Amino acid sequence: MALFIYGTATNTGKGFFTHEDRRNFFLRGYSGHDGSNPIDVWVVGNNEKGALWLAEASGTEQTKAEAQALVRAADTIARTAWDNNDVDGESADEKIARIGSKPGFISIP
Amino acid sequence: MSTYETLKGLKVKFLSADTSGSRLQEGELFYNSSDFNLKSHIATGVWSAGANLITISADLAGAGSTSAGLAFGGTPASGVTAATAEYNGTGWIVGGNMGTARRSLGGGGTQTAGLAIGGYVSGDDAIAIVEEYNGTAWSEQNDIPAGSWKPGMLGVQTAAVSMGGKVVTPEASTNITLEYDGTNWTSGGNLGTARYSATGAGTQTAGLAAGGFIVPNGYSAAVENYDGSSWTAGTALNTARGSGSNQLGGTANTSVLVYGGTNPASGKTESWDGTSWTEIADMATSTQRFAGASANSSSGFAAGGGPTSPASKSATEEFNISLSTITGAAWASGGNINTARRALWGGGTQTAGLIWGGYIGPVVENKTEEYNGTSWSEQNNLNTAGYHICGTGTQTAAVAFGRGTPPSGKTEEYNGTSWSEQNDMGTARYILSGFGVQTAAVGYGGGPLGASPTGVPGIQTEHYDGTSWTAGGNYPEKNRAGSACGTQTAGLGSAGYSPDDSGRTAEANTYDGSSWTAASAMVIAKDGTFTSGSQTDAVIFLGVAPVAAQNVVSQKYDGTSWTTSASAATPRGSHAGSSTGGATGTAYAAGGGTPNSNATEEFTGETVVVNAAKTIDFD
Repeated sequence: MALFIYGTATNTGKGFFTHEDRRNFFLRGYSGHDGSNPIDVWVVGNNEKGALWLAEASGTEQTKAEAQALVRAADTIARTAWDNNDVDGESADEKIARIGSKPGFISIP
Repeated sequence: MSTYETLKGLKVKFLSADTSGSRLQEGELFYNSSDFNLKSHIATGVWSAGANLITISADLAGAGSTSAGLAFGGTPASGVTAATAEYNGTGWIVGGNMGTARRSLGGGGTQTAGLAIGGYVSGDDAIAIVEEYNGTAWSEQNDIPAGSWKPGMLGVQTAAVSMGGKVVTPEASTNITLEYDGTNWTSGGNLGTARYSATGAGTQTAGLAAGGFIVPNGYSAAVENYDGSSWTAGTALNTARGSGSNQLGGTANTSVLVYGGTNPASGKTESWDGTSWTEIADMATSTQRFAGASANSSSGFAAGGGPTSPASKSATEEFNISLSTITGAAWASGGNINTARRALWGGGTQTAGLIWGGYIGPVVENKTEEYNGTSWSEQNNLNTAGYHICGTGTQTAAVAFGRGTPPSGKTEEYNGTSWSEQNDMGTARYILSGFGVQTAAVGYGGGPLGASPTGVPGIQTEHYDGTSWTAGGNYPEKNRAGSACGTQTAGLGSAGYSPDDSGRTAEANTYDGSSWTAASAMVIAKDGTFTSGSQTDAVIFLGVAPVAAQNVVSQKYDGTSWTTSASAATPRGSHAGSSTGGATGTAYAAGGGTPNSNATEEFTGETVVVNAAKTIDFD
């Protein structure tokens, strides 16, 4: 049995996941991109409550490879944006302070 | 001589409400005159969420107890680790590394006198290396005679028993028993049922081995008792199980807890009272390959593990038989902020929050939003936009100071409606930290970066009295992107990037209004965090750690030491949060990046609630 379920679902804010949900199953959210729009990618603990949460969140289940591809696409966009975000006369340290370190590629669990 | 108690018996208390305080004891009868019932409190056994392990790990070993536990070795996402973590019942701190990184080892003893034997590193064979832990460091001891994978363990560091195990090549369960006197290993009587990963309990002369895994796919319900020379069959478990974990079941063979295991993974828990095994509350998450330890059948913990290989997890669960229900700390989603951004700042509380400034790239923000515990609403903007801005205060009385870029000492006050310009800080800066209230605030650290002279503001502290800024005591080392909480005379600063050390720092310092004093270090070094609470009850959350999986791990401070706490769901740094709350209260985290986030999460600390008294029914 796989440890995690993977899916996409829009974080609608308050009540999207509760304290009780967090105690009942593993949950981790990542930024993804489907080629047209940003999309929230979720790694969910593979138990009944986790699966039910994804369904009730109107989520779309993905394979791990599909979920990883969505996150990789968002990472690529973020890395390109970082490369293109320069200010004349700014040092490397100042750029990192301004916009953070260059985003890496995230491997979802 | 007869006593009053012998002649008349004990009186039943006649109370207008249920018992409380020191009179709250299991089995104490009382009459509640308000609801006309004879009542008593009854303890129940439940599993509850504990703080996550510092890193994910499976096939690790456990020792000690719920209030003084130890977890060591194991496999994170891949490979093996030598890491040791110590548990105090609320959170984990870093212990000394083993000399030999390994997984699938046997573990026993206590938090201050632990024992690690055998295990697996790589290749075709298990290892035979033995190490002892003294509460600080591991030291290598005499090897066991042959390499062993997941041997069961019982006893203490100076009188331990290792039973069973697995030989890797050719794969086979063993029935070998070894006795340890703190120095040497000698052979004991063989187990009747060869197996590995059995739960062990009791002592070298009154031991118990329960369950275990039998190569290739067998789960055992067998229980055997050891008298110091031979094993005899005992009462079998209700559920055959081979958790693949290292699990100490208790310090006596008459009060034992066995949990987890089986395939598919199970959370079934059984307790042994010396006579029979009883099914009690299931674990919240079915799991195997965890580190487990129980002092007796009333309490135990399970840390890490995972039902499948090679995936590992960091969750901890605690079992307690108690009059109270313990609910672990957790993060839940809150209302999304209206403008996703990072490098913002915030204050207030979870139900009356305030955020300001930030960066969405290339736009520098002057937006302000208020939170009512459900949703964020746009308010009047800052007069001067900025990012890596700092500040402190409440939703109706906040102060914002410093900002970039260029670095600025601009100060503005918020009165619940609008921002007004005030006197600038003495030193222009950004990426600084701050705490206090609008009329007694503190700002310290920050940049400019690479300016001449380099990083000078990094140690400077300034006080704000509601009108002007004056110099305070210097921070012990240059710091930027740290976070802080507390008051001007009782502050706590921690984390951040240390230009002196060219890296993220775990250092923490307390402030008394004039000088900083070193406090114990955080468990995980981070920058870009946010801290809520006070000098004696703080929680620091999110940010960026050297290991990405640790970014979501919260850490809490009780005035003495740091331990890990609940993990947030969405990794990010340079976010905003509530200035008050603390590890035992409530807090929020909002925004952050990268990429820019609009997510809000709400933290609720661990709660302990006394269960309702039970009515005694005479029908």
